[in-house]
Amino acid sequence: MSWAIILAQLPALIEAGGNLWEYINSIRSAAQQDGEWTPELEQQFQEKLNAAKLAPHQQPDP
Amino acid sequence: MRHLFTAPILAISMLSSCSTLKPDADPVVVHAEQSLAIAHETFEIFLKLDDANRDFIRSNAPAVHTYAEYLRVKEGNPPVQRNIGWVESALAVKNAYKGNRTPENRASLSTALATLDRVLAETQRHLDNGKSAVTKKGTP
Repeated sequence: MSWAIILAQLPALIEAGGNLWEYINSIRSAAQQDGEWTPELEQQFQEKLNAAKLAPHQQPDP
Repeated sequence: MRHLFTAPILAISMLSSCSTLKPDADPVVVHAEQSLAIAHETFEIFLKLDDANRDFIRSNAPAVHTYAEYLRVKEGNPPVQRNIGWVESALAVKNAYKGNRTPENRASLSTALATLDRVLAETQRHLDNGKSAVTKKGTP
């Protein structure tokens, strides 16, 4: 699933800056056709959100 | 330096828009899902930057830290962080549209995504400022 690949690369992609096009080209070779999220991808995303709720960086100042 | 973080967002959008869609894929849904993923990751990256440098950013870029704390405020029932709540709300609207693809639900989804886009732009601005402040400090 092409979008799954992009999702996995997303943090690096956002911080890539000057190397952005290298990332894009490497991903585009793997990206075929985009589809809507499968139930598995949907669940994966919700699990990411749930994990974030408990993460230290998401907690306010004491 | 500002382009360092705004350019990736734009490029992701370009990458997404240049990709071909599967024949049965609804471009509205695909775009929404891409936007949700980008929004969440951007919030995460910004909050991780602030968290790794809390004391420094609180002192040297207070507006950045104040905004990070604003994103962290828990609201709703059950209470969840504001930034996560926004994504979850938009996710619910997206799924409502997926379940019933009416013009009304599509309009609701567009509104939810537009709101998310505005917050994302604000977050991107604070991410740029926070990164600049930390870079000047000399630590990663």
